Amino acid sequence: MMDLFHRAVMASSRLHPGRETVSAFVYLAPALILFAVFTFWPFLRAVQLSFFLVDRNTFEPALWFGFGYYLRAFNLGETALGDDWIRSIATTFQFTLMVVPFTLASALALALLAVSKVKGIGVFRTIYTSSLAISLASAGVIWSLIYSPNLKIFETILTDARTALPAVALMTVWTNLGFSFILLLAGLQAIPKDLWESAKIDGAGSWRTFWHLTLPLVSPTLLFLLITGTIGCFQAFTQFKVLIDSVGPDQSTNVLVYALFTAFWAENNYGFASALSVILFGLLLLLSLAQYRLDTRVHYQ
Amino acid sequence: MKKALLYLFLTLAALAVLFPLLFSLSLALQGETVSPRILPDFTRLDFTVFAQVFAKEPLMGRWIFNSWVVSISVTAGVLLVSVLAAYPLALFRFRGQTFVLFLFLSTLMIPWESTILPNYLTIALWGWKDSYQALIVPFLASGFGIFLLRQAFKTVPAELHEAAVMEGCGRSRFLWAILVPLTKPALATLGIWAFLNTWNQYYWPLLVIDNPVWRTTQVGITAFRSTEIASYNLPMAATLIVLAPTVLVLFAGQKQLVEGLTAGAVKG
Amino acid sequence: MKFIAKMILGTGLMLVAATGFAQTKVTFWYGLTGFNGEVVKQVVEKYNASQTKYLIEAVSQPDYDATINKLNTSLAGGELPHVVQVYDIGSQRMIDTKKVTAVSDLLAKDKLDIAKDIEPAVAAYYTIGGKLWSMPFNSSAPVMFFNKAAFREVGLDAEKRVWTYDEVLAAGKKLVKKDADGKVTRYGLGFTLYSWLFEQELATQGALFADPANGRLTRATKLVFNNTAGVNWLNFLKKNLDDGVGRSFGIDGGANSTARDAAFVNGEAVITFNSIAGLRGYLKNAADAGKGVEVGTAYIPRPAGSKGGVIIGGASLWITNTGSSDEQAGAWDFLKFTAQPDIQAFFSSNTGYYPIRKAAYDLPEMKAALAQYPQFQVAIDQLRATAASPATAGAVFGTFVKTRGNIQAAMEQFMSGKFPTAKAALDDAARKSSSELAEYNALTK
Repeated sequence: MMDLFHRAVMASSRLHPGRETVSAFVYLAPALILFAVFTFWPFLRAVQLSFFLVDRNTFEPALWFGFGYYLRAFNLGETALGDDWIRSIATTFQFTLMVVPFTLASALALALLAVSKVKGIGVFRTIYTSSLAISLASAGVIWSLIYSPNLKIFETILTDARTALPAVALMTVWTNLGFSFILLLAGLQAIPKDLWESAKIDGAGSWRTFWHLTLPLVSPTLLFLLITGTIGCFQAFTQFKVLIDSVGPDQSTNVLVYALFTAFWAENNYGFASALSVILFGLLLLLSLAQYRLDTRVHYQ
Repeated sequence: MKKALLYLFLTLAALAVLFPLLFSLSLALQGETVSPRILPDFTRLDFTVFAQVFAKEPLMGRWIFNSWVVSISVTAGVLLVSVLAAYPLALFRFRGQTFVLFLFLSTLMIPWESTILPNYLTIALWGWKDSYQALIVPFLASGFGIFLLRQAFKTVPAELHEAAVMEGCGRSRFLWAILVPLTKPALATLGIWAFLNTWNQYYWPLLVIDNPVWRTTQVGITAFRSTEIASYNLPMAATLIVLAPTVLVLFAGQKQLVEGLTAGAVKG
Repeated sequence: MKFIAKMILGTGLMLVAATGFAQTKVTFWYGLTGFNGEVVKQVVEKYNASQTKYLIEAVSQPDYDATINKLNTSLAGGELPHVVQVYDIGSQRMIDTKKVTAVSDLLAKDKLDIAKDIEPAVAAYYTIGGKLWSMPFNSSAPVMFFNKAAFREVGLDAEKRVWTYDEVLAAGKKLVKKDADGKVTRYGLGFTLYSWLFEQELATQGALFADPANGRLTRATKLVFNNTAGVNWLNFLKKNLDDGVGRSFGIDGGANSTARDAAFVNGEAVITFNSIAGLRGYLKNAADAGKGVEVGTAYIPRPAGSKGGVIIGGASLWITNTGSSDEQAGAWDFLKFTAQPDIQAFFSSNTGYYPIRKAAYDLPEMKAALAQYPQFQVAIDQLRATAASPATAGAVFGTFVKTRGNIQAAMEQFMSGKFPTAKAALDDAARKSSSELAEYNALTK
């Protein structure tokens, strides 16, 4: 072992840094090319298109429109056409607030239940994980029939402006549950046994143990789920397309990506669609920054 | 007593989680009916419904085949591209390393939806609409995959790598003969993740596929939903058929996925 | 020996005949789904069996919206279909793609004079700027559906065809039923908020939807549907709600339309408005539901003294100017086939759309269908009673889909009380729609 280490040190000093750079980029080339073609270029192109009226036939920028589309999205200035898109952004936030906390809470409850080592627990764990294998499209089809007026269970749930968004949120929570559960379970299982036991010996009540021991120890997992869940909600589209397939009753389910889809797909307003996609990027960037600050606090508290 | 209570809660929670699935199975087996019920009549279960799905939609088999081709190709491609990219990032020292790392990190910040319009145009201009490559190639590079594997590769000491290279073990041999076998769990995690993600894709296939022959299952099943008002059994059966492969992949790889996800994503 | 040789030669020639001549493949996208989609497929099969030169490959799309959307986004690259079924309101957009060949040009080239035999209202709709742009295929117009049994039950005339708004309201009041708790068990009127009907009601009152002249002669530049006619219709619907006579099922489409239809066939809403093409579905579902609903039809209602008529809806077949000359010839040949009186009679008698050819009505198949569905005759008479004018020809402009969305949102907001008056709601929708149209027009020079 020492011999190998010695040789390694020798080797590193003799290695030619330039040659390593060349071979590094050979290995990196496929990823770099793919990212350039399918991520960076399209993103820059979207930014460019967002400042133009875009020709519907050629998809080329045709007339300079400045910040017109951005102003329209926020219902400002001469290009304003109403508060539809401000409402879209607000609806997206609302949807996130409905889905993420509810998912985390119910997944944590399930994980606390399933962490106990009793006979047959494996079956329960598998059941709780099952929704991980179910796509949003499949879940959408299943729930569209659960919500169907003909079944008389939830007759008007998708057609009432007060219940439509919560209904989609509930379906999303169910679909997200498996993923959140399995990570939280793993997080709970990673807590060393003696910590639980010493807490027991100290006579800490189960509520106290939860607040002061369990929760802090799974908080990195919770934070990760908070981040991925929030990003997922901001990008939510499939469930709205399958369940609602319109702006919803009183536009109550017109989330940002659905509005983006409409502008792109149904209205062929490519400039505006691009502006909305850049706004989505901006919102996610802001959220990431906020969560990065939260992250440093959780880790260094 | 306490144990009985625990089992009660476990069972109630299991029923709540399973309800939509059990319910769809129940609807699927009830036959064509205007007034379906929560529980089917167990003496008159209609199992032919699964065959009816294929009869009603002759392309169903093709859609499932398409989903497999696309999902397996993307999984293999993501693994390959990520392995290649993660290797130098984890174990080389080269000029521009930080910059490349930053570039890859920034891909995680750009949501797919923000690039969808120009990407659509690219695919259309290349004449790739209605093809497998349209569904595969744009997804081969994954920032998440590269970071997951970089994390795994970093557990191998750089000195070992350098020594091996000095000993005349070529870089590519080191990668495939030593590094890849050593990090199988991470690769498995990434593989399952890529497979599930691809299998479940909806938005993109909806855009780039015009001809039903090229549809994948996710877009295909939504076609069942709209056709008839009174028939609930067919869409439900179709959905269950589509669910089966991912459920199997999940149950086969559940342990791997959990370990890898926790190691890679949470701690990483 | 000779005989055998002849046999072999003969079989070989037959093989060449079957496979040797390459058929020209022509792609055709269509957006009709469900039962009507099957009938479209049958028309294609009939055509393919009728000749050997061309082979139509019919590709079904999820719906009308998806069909034109896919076509629009295909302009970026990839292959366009040779023939595409596009709904009425996509007409101006189709012309503006500059990828289509006008049917009137092809007719002139062939010296074919079938235009005279096309149902006048249908021809009027698809004639824009003096040209018949596409071949009308499936045409319909809305009617007022009602439950004849319920009408008779409360002493209303079940054979009366023309109803004014006030008469419908009064009838509704008689028809409403409540249970002991005061909960309504039967509404007089069940409706969705549907821009298509709004447009029809404008035409019925002879009012324009877009300026100038509904975009029929020159490009429309402004939406003017925020006029008295539009206000009348919104107020009529609102009055039904306020009086507890009617029930709104929300914006038309998807689950809302299904719920409205279910209420009608179950006898929970006596009157509703829908396309005459929905007649077959209503008859079948009403029979299945077994609640004794007897489907009747009348003209769509109007304010007293209105002199207009209805606008043709539905879809037409467009030829794109892409592909080889063989493919274009095949596409045109197929279009001519679909417009034959016998094919139109077949399509109409199986689906419930109007035949686009007057000659189709003389065929036994069509006569049998009319005898079987007397409700359909009402729709035909309503169409024939319509006086030709820009108002009844219907509006054409490039952003119709978006404008419909604006109108339906305005209707929803007026019904829910967010806008105090119908005028304010329509003004808002018209302002947005005009501004979007101006942006669209800025790019179409």
